[in-house]
Formats: sequence, C-alpha cells, structure tokens
Amino acid sequence: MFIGRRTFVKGAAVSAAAAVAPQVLVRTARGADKNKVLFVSEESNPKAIAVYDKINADFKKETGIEVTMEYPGFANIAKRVATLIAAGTPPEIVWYGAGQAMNLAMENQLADVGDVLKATGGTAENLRMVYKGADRSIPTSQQFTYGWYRKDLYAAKKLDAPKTWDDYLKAAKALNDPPNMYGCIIPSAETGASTLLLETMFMKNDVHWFEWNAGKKEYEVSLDRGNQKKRAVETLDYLNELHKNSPEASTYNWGELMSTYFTEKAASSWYVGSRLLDQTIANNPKIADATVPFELPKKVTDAYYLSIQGFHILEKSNVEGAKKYVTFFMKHPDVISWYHAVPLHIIPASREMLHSAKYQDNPVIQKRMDVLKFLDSVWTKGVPLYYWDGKELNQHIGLFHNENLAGWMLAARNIKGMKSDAVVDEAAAQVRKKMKRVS
Amino acid sequence: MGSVTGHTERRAWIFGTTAPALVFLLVIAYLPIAYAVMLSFFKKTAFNPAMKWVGVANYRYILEEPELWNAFWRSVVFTVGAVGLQLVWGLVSALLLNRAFRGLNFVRSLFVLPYLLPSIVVALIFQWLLSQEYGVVNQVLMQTGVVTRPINFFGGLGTAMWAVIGMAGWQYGSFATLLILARLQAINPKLYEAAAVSGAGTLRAFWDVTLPNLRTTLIVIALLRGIWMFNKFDSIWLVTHGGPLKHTETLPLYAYRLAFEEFDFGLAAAACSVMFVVLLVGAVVYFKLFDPTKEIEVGR
Amino acid sequence: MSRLQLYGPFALLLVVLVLVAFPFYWMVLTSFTPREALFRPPYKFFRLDFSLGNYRELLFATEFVRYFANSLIAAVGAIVLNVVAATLAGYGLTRFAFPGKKTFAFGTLFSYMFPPMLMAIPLYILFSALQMRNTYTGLILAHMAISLPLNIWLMWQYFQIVPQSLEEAAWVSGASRLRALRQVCLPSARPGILSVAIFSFALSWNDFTFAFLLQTDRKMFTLPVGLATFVEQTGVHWGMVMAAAVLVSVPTFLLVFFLQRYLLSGLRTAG
Repeated sequence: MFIGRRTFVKGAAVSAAAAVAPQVLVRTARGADKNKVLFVSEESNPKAIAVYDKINADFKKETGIEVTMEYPGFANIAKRVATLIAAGTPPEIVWYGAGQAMNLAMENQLADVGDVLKATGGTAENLRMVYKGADRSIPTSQQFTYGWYRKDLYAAKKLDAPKTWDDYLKAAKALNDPPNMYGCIIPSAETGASTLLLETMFMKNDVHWFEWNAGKKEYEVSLDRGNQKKRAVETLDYLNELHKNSPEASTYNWGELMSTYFTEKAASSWYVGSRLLDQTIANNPKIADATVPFELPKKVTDAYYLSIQGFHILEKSNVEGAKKYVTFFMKHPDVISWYHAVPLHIIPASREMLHSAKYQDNPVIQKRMDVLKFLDSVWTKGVPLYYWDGKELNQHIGLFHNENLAGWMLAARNIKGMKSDAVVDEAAAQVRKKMKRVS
Repeated sequence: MGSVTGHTERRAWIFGTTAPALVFLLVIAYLPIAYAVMLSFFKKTAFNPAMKWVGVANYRYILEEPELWNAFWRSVVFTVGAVGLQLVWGLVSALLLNRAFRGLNFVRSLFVLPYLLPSIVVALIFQWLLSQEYGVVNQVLMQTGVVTRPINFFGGLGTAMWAVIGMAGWQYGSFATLLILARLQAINPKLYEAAAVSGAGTLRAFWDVTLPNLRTTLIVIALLRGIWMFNKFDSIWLVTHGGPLKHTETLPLYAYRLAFEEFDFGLAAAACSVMFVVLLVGAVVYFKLFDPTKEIEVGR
Repeated sequence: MSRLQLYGPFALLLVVLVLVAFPFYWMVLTSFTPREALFRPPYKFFRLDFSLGNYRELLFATEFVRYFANSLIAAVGAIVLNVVAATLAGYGLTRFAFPGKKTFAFGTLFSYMFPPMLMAIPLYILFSALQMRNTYTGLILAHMAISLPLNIWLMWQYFQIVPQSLEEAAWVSGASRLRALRQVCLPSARPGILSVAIFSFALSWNDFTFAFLLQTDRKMFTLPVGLATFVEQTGVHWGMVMAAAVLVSVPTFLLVFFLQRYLLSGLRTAG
C-alpha cells in the first residue's frame, strides 16, 4: 500500500488535530453555571425519586437554581462521575458511599464542607470523612452488615440466633439440605457482596490489612505478617467451612443474596442493610415475618463494617449553589419521606432521628420495630473501613477495595481451592504492587 | 462509452458522494481513535481532568503484566472458538435451509432473530436457561440422569468460557447462516448437474462444487466476525463480568477493568491500542494469506 | 437413496431448529408465568397457567415503554443516516476513479477494528462540548461509528455488481447522471440498501457500550441499558425480564419476516 506524500501530510494533520481538539474543547466547555446544579444520586428507588422531585421544585422556587438529577445506579455511579470529570463538566453533588468518594477526595476533587455540616447540626465522629484537615462528606445515612435468618426453620431444629462462629457453622450444617435448601450463603466471587463479607468477618476477627507506622507516619501492609496472617488464615478457613453449606455462589452479588433467600433456598443470608427484608416482603410475603436479623457472630471484636452514604460536593463546580442545596435538603420537612423510601434500609446518620416519632411513623417500621431495636443496639459498633486501621484516614483502602480483592480471596479459597496462607500472601503482594504503582 | 458528466461536474460528484461518509468517519471514528491512542501516552486517572505525559511507561507496564497476556490468550480462545462455532453452525444451517419447504420463510426469520436481539436480552435468556438453581437445562440434565448435580455453567472454572462461546455462537451464528445461504442460492445449478453426470455423490459434489464457491464468503465471514468477536465486550461482561476468577476476562474486559475499576484511563487506552495493533497485524496477515479483496475491483 | 440420505437432513434440521427455537420458547413461556411459580423448580414444559401479570408490571410500573421508544428512535436515525451515507459512498467509489481509493477502503476497515469501548470516552468529551450528551443525535452518531464502515463495504461491493450498462442506457436516452442514479441505480440496488438498513438496525438496537457510557439521564436510556438497570438493585425478576425480552423480539421478528427476501438477495454480493 503506497502512501503518497499528500496522504501522509493529511494523516499527520488529522492526528495533530485529534490530539489538540479535545483539550481545546474541554477548556471551552461550559464553565460552572451559577444557576444550575447537577446532582448524581446512587439511590434510584421510585419513592426516593419522587422526594427528590418535590424538594428540587421547592428549591427552584426559593432560589431560582435548577437542579438536574441523574440516576446511574450503584454499579455504575463511579463510572458516571469519572466520565463527567474527564469531560471537564464535573457534577456539583454526588450522593453515594463515602468509601467511594474517598477516591475523589484523594484526587483533590472534593470541596471542604465543614460549613454545611455546622449548618445542619454536625454529625457523629465515626461518620466523618476528613482529608487534608477538612470534612469532605455530609453523611445522611448508613448501613451495617448483618445477618438475616429464618426464625421458623431455626426453631424447628431447636436453634437460636447464632452467637459464636461455632454456633453459626453448626446451624448452617443442621439446616443444609442441598439442592433444595442451603444453610447459608457465602458468595465467593470478585464482586462487592463477596468483598464485604470477608471484610466484615476480618473485622470480627480483628484482622487489619494495614498497620500505622508511627515512625514513618504512614500505613504499611500488615496482612501477611505474624498474628494478622494467622487470624486472616483462620477467617478464610472458617468461611470455607461455611461455604460447604452454601450454594457455590461463584457469580453471586447482592441480588443473589436476596433472591436465593426469598425463594426459600437458604435458611440464612446476610446483607448490608435491610433491603433483603424489603425484597422478601415484596416477593414472598409469607416468610417475611419469620425473617429476623441477627448479629454476624463476633470472634475477637464486635465491630461492624459500616457503609456510610452522604453528599459530596465537587471542587471545580458550582460549589456555592451545591452547598445551598444540601443545606436546604437536610432541613426540608420531606426529608423523612426520603428515609421512608426504603424503610429500615436507609437508616439516618443521626441517632436522634432514629428515635424520633416522626421517623418511626411508618407502617413498615411500626410492624418491624424489632429491626429498629436491633439497629439501635449495634449503633456505636460500626466502623468505616478507612478508619479501621487507625485514627488517620487510610488512603490505601481503595487499592484493595475497589477491585474486590477480598472477593478474589474468597473465590480463590472456595472455588479454586488455593490454600489460605497462599491466598493471603498473594493478596498482600498485590496491594504492595499497587501501592508502588500509584506512588 | 463516455459518461454524460463534464469535468468539474465530475469533481462535484466525487466530492458529493464520498464527503458525507468521510466527514462522519472522520469526526465519529478517526478523531476519537486518534485521541484514545494519544491518551495511552499520558498518565490519566479517572477522577482528575489533568493529564501527565509519560511516554511509553504505560505500555511498558501493561506489556509486563501477566494479566494482559492471560487476557490476550483468553481473547484468542474466545475468538477462535466463537468464530469456529459460527462458521460450522452457519454452514450446516445454510445447507439445511437451502431447499424449499413450507414454512421456510418463518424458519428463516427465526434463524435470523438471535442476531437482532440486544446482547443484554441474550445474556438474560442464557442466564435464566443455564442457571444452577433455576435453569431448565440443568433440570433436563438431571431428570435424564446425565448429571447428578446441577452444573454451574457461567460460574464454573472449567465451564464458563465454553458457556460464553456457546452463547456467542447462538447469537451471532445467524450472520454466517445468512451470508452463506445467499451465496449458496447464487451457485449455478448447472454445476451440480455436471457433477452428478460425472458420477459424483453428494459428498463429492459438496467438496468440488459447493466449497470452492463458498471460499470467499467463508473467508469474509471469518474476518468480519473475527474482528467483532475479538473486540466483544458487552456479551461477556453482562453475563460473567469476567469471572469466575477472571476466567472469562478477555482483552476488552481487561481494558474496561483498567478504566473503571482501577480508574486508570491511560493504561486502559494503552491496552486498547495493543488490541488494535494485534488486529491490524492479524488483518494484514489475513489479507496476504487469503486475499478477500480478489473480487473487489478497486480500480473501477 | 438410502433412508439416511432421505431423512438425515430433516432430522438434522429438526435438531438445529430446536437449538435455535428452544430459548425463545422458554422465554415466552416464562414471561407468562406468575411470579410465585417462577422460583419453584422443577418446571413443566407445557404449562397452562397463563398470567399477564409480568407484562402489566413491565408496561405500567417501569419505564420500559420509554426505553423502547428511545431505542427505536436511535435505530431509525441510524438506518437513515447509514443508508444515505453508505449508498452515496458506494456509488461514488465504484463509478469514479480517483486517488486514495484503496486507502479509503482499508481505512474504513481499520476503524471497524478499534474497540468501541475506548472510543466512547473521547466521543463523550466531544459530545459534552457540543452539548450533545443525552441527545438522540449523539447516540445515533455514535452508532454510526460502528456500523458505517461495514455498510460502506457492503454498498461498495454491491454497486460493483449493478452493471454500469443500465445507467449508460439511461444516459443514452438523455437522462442526467442524477436522474439515472435515482431512477435506475437505486431501484436495482434496493436489496443492498435493505441489507444495509437491517445491519444498521441490528448494530444500533443491539448496542450496549455506547448507550451505557454516553446516555446518563434515565429518560434517555435505551432498552439494553434500561434492562441492565432492572436487574441491579432488586435481584432479577425473571418473569418481567422475559416479558421484556419477548416485547423486544416481536417487532424485530416481524421486520425480518417481511424483509428477508431482500435480505437474502442483498447478501448474495457480500461473498
């Protein structure tokens, strides 16, 4: 194929134009418009959407600022935010998990929201996300990771809610009758559900991926050292025993944790919140009353993996408008309806609100006050992953959490059959490699 | 015989007919591709609009990554498997459909339908059919005693890739069926008569008459489908997300993971450029070996 | 002729038919199965308990109709633009000689080779700057990026088979080139044009990647993206999902059924 001179010149011109054009376009893209706010939210439940619509309309009436919503869904929200930022048009507000928002904070994309926190009554210490000396998150809600079980099936075998690791294993074995009924569900895949399970159980067994080195003033990988490794191996082996009473679950994520339970194929399951109960009520109401929460049994500690959601405001956007909106939202009387969109699952960040009559005035909550009492009893035990290893915010959490490395560990142990200490060694090596790449 | 078009009018015609396509391609295809390739020479994370020039560092990193080579190998397995299945399926079904019988139109439309379905629909149908807990395929296999425990098709380490290849074959096989069938119907029946006269049986006739005529069609199908399957992202991702344990993570899924789970756009761009180069080299070799343009007269 | 030769092909045809048709049969059956019955395997192959509940829920409780409309608009737009651009290009490439033709030919093939996924990000940036994000225009143009190269090849090959003598006859009787194109060339190229239409439809209707990355507003989701989000937060509701699959397949099936004559004759040239 003979490429003539003219073709070559044309080709070079095109390439040069291609290289320059997007930069130019990005710079001329619309700058922060004072009268517009783009709000990207993870929660797309129709009832929640109705509340957003109402509050946004009221906000527009009061301030003239127009709020546009986007609902990418929780699997895709990080992607959306990334593409918006890449295009030079960052959203004003992102409502999703604080753990994910930390990725933004570390790239200096989040604004300081200390003033908004003060204006809306502050928040509990364990819910704050502080980076470079400033608050970057306005928490609105939280979920704990806890178990759900079939009280009726357990009672039939004369079993109570499990209190220790041995109890749970015994109960799972007793109720295991494949393929019609499994004793428990242990997802073993590189998915979020699997990752959260291992990380929760690691917390129960006081396993830390990182340790704070006071001398160097930084976190170091500690998963494969000494006692940490021993307890990590112990946890993996325990989950492997449990897995023998569970479906293979090598592709399971959140949906399957719920559907396998409410189609009566598992005697117990677990979830990060109460959506499992919500879905059981919707799909198989006859077992809803027998669906009762239980604390995932402790071993060394009684800590709960805490998932916090809140408002995060992006630095290079219409920060002023965004702050006005968040303050308006938090003080709006319809905020309660927003919490009621998925009752008992979207739990308020504030304990006062949990105890308030206004919050409890909801048929589902009234019917299942036992769940509310359960949540109250574990209220102070929640620890977000980025404060698990020490007082300083652990920036490296994303390195293993984003890519579901913990899920990989479970899959390698339960599906592939790798030995636990090899799994732990490999995982620690991966994290070190990523740390080197990022620095 | 000369045309009726004068010289300047002719220039206008050339411009008028090719310009729309050219402009579209330039803006929609070439520019983005050039930008994406350029991106591979920068360090760019997903959450920061800033970019930093790093030369070939991205390439050096991923070419040393065992995950890239694993993904490359899986891409090859998937492409060869899926295209092979589609060719066989296409040939068999086209031969079977190349006869007149009642309901032929209905049957032919049915055959084409999988190709026209969105990948998500196909993914959902197959997940439902092959589910370990609720799938009807497992139900039949167990009821007929072929297996004693349900097979975890999309979640099993040994079965996931084959399940995905089978699904891709089902979905895209009809592309091959259509093209081969069209070509079959254009073969001069006199050739078959001549073969029958000289005593050739059906198998011989197939070998001597049918296959040579199908040669170019098969080559073109293999080329087009090969490119498409090598780049296939949605079908595999929607059904396994690359799992279990990355056993179905082909190059496109690997690039996606780099971009949206490791949040490194520069690396992802480098991975995509590597894919592109592989395809380029493959296409050049393919053209030299098989020359599918033999019937395209470029000089016209 | 032996028994095998007589019945063999038909038996094989039956097996092949079952392999193609069974997934559809199961899909349709599941779509009419009420929710409670769905999670109780084993299933009967022939069931008589019909329920329209899934369809009702799909059409009224979700935004399925909107997604369907969005997909349709994008597909029609893609068809129109593809047909116009590819037909013109095919005509120009076969009727005129000019330099750079071979480059153009291979160039189109090469753009077909680039992974669509990474083209989506620069396209996203481009569309954002031109305020075309979340528009039909943007999505249609993105779909053309993957379908146009293939269609140019198709029409190019096709026009080579349409003999120039037809046009020349028209010129002799005094028609201008334009008139000859409209009244002589296009009609005989109709099968090719229809195949371009169907391929453009398939690529647009089927597209998940571009719609997923470019359309960020729920109101603008196409079917594939909308279906993917059904599945996410609430665990898969198989009955409703299969009902959606049925509704997506029926119009496509009808389209193919009525146009397949043209489809087959159009493809004769692609080999």
